[in-house]
This record gives sequence, C-alpha cells and structure tokens, in this order.
Amino acid sequence: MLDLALGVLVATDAGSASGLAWYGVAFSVALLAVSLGLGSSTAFQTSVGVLGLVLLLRRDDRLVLAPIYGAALLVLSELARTSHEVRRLELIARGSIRARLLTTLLFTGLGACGAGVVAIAVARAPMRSVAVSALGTAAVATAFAAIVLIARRSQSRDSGADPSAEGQTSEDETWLDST
Amino acid sequence: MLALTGGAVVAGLASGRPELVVLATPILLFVGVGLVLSSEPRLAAELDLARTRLIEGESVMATVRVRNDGIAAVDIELALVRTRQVILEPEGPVMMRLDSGRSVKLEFQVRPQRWGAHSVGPVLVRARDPLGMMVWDTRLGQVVTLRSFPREQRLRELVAPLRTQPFLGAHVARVRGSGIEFADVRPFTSGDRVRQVNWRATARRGDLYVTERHPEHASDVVLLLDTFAEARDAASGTLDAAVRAAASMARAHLARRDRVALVDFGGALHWLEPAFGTTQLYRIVDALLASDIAFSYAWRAVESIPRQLLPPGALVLAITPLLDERSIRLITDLRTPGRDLTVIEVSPLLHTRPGPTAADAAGYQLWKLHRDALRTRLQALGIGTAVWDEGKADLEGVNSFRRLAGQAGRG
Repeated sequence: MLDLALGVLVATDAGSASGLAWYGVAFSVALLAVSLGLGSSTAFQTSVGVLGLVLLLRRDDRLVLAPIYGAALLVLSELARTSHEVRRLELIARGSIRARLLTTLLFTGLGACGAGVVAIAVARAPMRSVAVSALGTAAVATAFAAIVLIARRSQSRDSGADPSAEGQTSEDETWLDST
Repeated sequence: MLALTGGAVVAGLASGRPELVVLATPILLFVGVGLVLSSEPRLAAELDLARTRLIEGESVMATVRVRNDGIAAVDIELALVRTRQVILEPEGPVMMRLDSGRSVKLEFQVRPQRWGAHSVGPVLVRARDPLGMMVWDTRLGQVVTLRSFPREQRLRELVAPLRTQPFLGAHVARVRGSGIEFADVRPFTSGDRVRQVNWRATARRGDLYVTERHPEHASDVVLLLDTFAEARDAASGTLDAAVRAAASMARAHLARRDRVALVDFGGALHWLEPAFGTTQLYRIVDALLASDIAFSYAWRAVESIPRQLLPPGALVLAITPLLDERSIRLITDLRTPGRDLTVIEVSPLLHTRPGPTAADAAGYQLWKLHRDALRTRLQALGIGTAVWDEGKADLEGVNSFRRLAGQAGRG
C-alpha cells in the first residue's frame, strides 16, 4: 500500500512522463510482490530503487517531498526486511515486532528531519559552483567513509569475540544461513 | 541498501539533482546512527532439561534461560541444536526483544522419535541491535544428552531354558533336589532327611517313603542382537522392534534371577558378559541404546564371539530379522549339540510392501515363500522360531516345539 501510495504521489504530477511513472510504479509494486512471495531481498531493494528514481519524474516540489519520500522508502524497506525475517520464525514473543517498528519509525523520523535540514540547506545555498560541489562531495565522502569505518570496526569486534563459532556448521543450523 | 543509497548520492552530485541526495539522507542517517549505537551484545544462556532419561514416546520440557548483560536492548532469535531424531515444539527459531539487564525463559517440548542417546543443545542465538544494523551469531549453553529407553512389552511367557544352572532362580530344573515342585516318591535311603518323609505314602505302604522335588534354578540367557541389516520405513524399522524385544526379554529374565548376556553382532561386535540383577539391566539397556546398523562386508563366524559369552547350557535367543545371509549362517553354526538356541524373528514384512507392478508382487510373494522356507529349515535343524510382533511373540508355540524337539533328540 505504501509503495502504491508513493507511486501515485509522483505519477499524478508527472505530466507528459506520467505513463513512464505509472510503468515504474507498476514495476516496483510487482517487484515488491515477488520479493514478499519468494523471500528475495534483491527484489525488494530493486523495488525501492525504482520507486526512488520515479520521484525524478515529478514536475513540482521534488525537493520539498524528498525528505518524506526518502523516509517512506526507508520504512518500506524496513517493513519488507522485517517480513522476510519473520517468515522463517516459528514463534515471536509478544511486543517484539511492535518494539522494532517503533524504533524504526523513531529513527526514520530523525532521518527525515536530517533530510529536511539538507533540503533547506540546498534551497538556500548559493548557485552551483565548483567549490560548492566539491564541498558536497567531500561531505558525502566523509559520511560514507565514517559509515564504512564504523561497520568494519563492528565486524572485526564481532569476529574477534567468538572465534570458536567459525567453521561450526551442521544441518541443524540451516536457519542461520537462510538470511 | 547502502549501495543503493551511495548510488543515489553519487548520481545526485553528478547530475546536479539535490533531491536525490536529500532522498538518500534518511537512509544514510539511519544506517550511520544504527552503526554508532550498535554494541556487541553480552548474552548468556543456560539449557536445562527436566529429565535426561525417559521412555520412548515420552517428551520432556527443555528450559532455555537467556540473559542480556549488555548495555543495550537486542532482538534475539534462538533455536536449539539437536540430533535428527528429536522433535522440538516449537521447532523453528523463536524471536524476542531482550532489554539490557533482563532475562527471559523459554520452554521447548522435546520428544525423541525413537530410543537411543540423543543430544540437545547448545542454543543457537542470533542477536541484532534494535535497528538491525549488526548481526551476531553465537552458540550458548551446553550439550545435554537425553537417553530415550526402548519401550518394553510385558511378556506373558518366556522361552523356557532346557538346562538350568545350579543357582537359585525361578525355573523348575529337570534334576531332583530340594525345591517346591513335586517330582516323585521313592523309598527312604540313608542320608535322606526326616522332613522329606512322605508320611501318607509311608502309612499306606508300611515302609518309609520320601518325596522328591525339582529345585528352582536360574539359567544363563544370551541375547544375540542381529545388527547386520534392517528393514525400515519412514516411521520405524526392524532394529527398533529388535531393541524393544531385547530390552523386554532382558528385563523378564533378570526378574527371574537369570544371568543375562548381550551380544550385538553385525558390522561391529559388542558384548556384555553374563551377570545378574538390576545393574545388568541398566548395562544392557545402555548398550542397546548404542545399537545401530553398521554396514560391513565382514563375515562373523561363531569363533568371533568370545567363548565366555556362550556358557555351556545357556539359552541363546537370537533376535534377528533374518535378512542377512551372514546372520543366518551364524545362527545355523551356533546350533551344536548341547546348545539351546531359539530364533526370535523380528519380521521385516511390517516395513516392506510390494512394488506397483505384477512382477513386483510376484517377487514379493516369492520372497515371503523364501522366508517361510528358511524358517522351516531352521526348525528342521531343531531351532525354534517365533515371530516377534510388539510383545505378542508366539513363545508358547516355541516352547512346545522345543519340548518336542528335545524329546525327539533324546529319542
């Protein structure tokens, strides 16, 4: 439903490109359905990517809509991921999913606020120039580098924590490998 | 998602479309904050089984306690490692959120599908930080061995041994001596005790007569378990029934104060020397739990069975599905003068069915005829055979056959 709503939001204001927008939305919805049916994470990531690109087909207020749209895409991808993980579980303790979704919504809201700040900064920024582009590139590169560094540090900490777990596989553990 | 986001940001920078960068910002912030806040969980788990010994078909409650000693809440999925023959309820992973400093108790119903030594545990735990950015897989807790003892059948009758040993037991011996069972009346001779005098016969005949009795003796029983081959369907197999038969017979004979030995002959040879009592019953049942079909090309001759396992005059009960030529050869070789041998056939017919074609049906009938012929051949050798059907073996028929065979042998 969220996928479709986002698609409709764009396609109704896409002007001459509305046909293409509708195709994009239909493709995204179909991919999401396939993803939920087959449990493929690649399909839902592609679906989210296509829906993100569809935003470019909207004529007006793209920058204004982008923070909410991005937050909605994040919620969509988290919902799809949760549904993938939950389908192979046999028992879920009461309140676990609700707690997880509330955490996701809280941090998504934080992300939307951050995106709103970026959108305001973009709207108030001086005209495009090499210096501004270089600054933006540097900011993005720094953000990515920071994320990758944190992720690697966490991974190395994790692998150092339980070396005995490596190489211990059996058919009884297939549930761990299914994601 | 991170790659997708990266692509959107690069495309936004390259094409001068800031909305792509703004679109990616919530996801970037979500990932970044999630990674910064994630910390390695400190989990501890204990696995406890209400009982570690149970009878086949029973189930036991396994309790898993997981404690989060970390500083942040974690989403955990946990499942129990177990051997194939163990059914768990719930079977799949269980998910829950565990706040910092809290512990949770989970209960699993554990039911072994068949007898044997099964293992349950450790606990497989997959932990995620609340935003699902990092995943940690680990094993916690210990392995618990669960012993499922074979279900025993109450036997209405036992194979009566032809010879007994001079120990106090429950079998009426053929010899005469001091006992309860009446044997005969004979004239008094020197050395007879006064308490043996039959006063009624003495008064009638005018001379001293004494009563002779049969003593109650124990016997030596050797249980030969054939593990060369088995017939098995999805639910059970001949080995399952053979183990139940062996356990039931061991219990019944030990209750009658017999000495019981166990020989597991097949691809591998295992044995327990003859002994009395409850301890021997536990030894036998424990040994039976380890019984399995071991594929082998090796032939087993009688000589491969240690001599002390086949004491003279012992009753040998061969529990076999009569499927492997080697076990049939061994049984026929065991039939020597003075050896008391009976075959308890664990029928493979319950676990087999003919194929779909007429040729299959004909082949199946031929195979059944071949088995009948084999049984007749064994009986011609003086070996009593009885088909074990979950405790309803025709042991009375075997005993009649053995008495007749014994008389014919003496005649």
